[in-house]
Amino acid sequence: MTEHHGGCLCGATRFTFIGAPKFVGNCHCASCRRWSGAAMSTFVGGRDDQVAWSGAAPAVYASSPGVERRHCPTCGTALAYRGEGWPGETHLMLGAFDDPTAFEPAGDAFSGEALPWLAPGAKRA
Amino acid sequence: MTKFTGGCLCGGVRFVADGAPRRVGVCHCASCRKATGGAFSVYVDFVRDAVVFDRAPAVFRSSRGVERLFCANCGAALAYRGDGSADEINLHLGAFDAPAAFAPNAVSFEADGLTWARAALAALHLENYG
Ligand SMILES: [Zn+2]
Ligand SMILES: [Zn+2]
Ligand SMILES: [Zn+2]
Ligand SMILES: [Zn+2]
Repeated sequence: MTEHHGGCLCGATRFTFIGAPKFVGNCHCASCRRWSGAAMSTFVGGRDDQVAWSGAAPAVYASSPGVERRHCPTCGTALAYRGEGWPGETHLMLGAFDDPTAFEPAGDAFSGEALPWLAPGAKRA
Repeated sequence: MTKFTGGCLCGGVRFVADGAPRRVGVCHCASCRKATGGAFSVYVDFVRDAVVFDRAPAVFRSSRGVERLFCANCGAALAYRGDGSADEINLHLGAFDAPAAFAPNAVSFEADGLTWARAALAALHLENYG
C-alpha cells in the first residue's frame, strides 16, 4: 500500500496517509481561506482509517457545529478538516505533505467564493 | 487613508493595516507551503508600523530571524516577519476580511512551485522578486 508522509512546519505533529485518496480538490470557501491563510485550500481526502497521526497531538478547533479543524499548536500549520457532511473522512492539507507533488487537484468546491484571479473555469477543469 | 481589516478564523486575533500594500506576492517556497498547508502562499506586504494587532498572535520562529504569526486557538496563519525586511510585515491574504481587494503582482521561489499551481497563476504574469 502506498504511504505518503506529512506534518507541520515545526515537525511536532506528523501523519501518514495510506493508500489512494478518495479525492484531491481545491476548496475556495471563506472559512478554509481564513483558517489556512492561503488563497485557496487544496485537500487530499480519504477515510479516517487511511490517516495515522504521530508525534504531538494536533490542536482541534470546531469552526462550526460538526466541523473539526486540526492544526499544530506549536507552529500553527493547518493540517486537517473533518466534517459531518463527510462522515468517516479526513481531509488533509496538500501543503502539509512532505512531497506535495504526489497529488494534483481534480476539482473545485465553493467556486462561488473563489477569489476572482483564482476562479475556476476558463483556465482549468 | 485606506484601512484594511482582517483576523483569524475564530475572531480571537484581529488586525488593521493602514495605507496601500507595497506588494502582493505569491511565495512557492516549501516553508511557506507548510506554514499555511496551502499549495502556495500569498502575502500582502505592509510597512510593519502600519499594521496593528488587537491581541498578540502566537509566534513560531521557523528559522533564524523569521517569525510566523498565527492564532493559537484556531490555527489561522496571520503573518510573516523577517529580519531580511525589518520594516515590513507580510500578512497572509486569506486573513483579510475582504481578500478580493488584492490580487498578486509578484512571485518568489517560483522554481519550488507545484507545476499545476504555477500553471493556475500563469495568466497573472507575476514579476519575480526575492
Ligand atoms: Zn508544528
Ligand atoms: Zn472550505
Ligand atoms: Zn483564531
Ligand atoms: Zn516562502
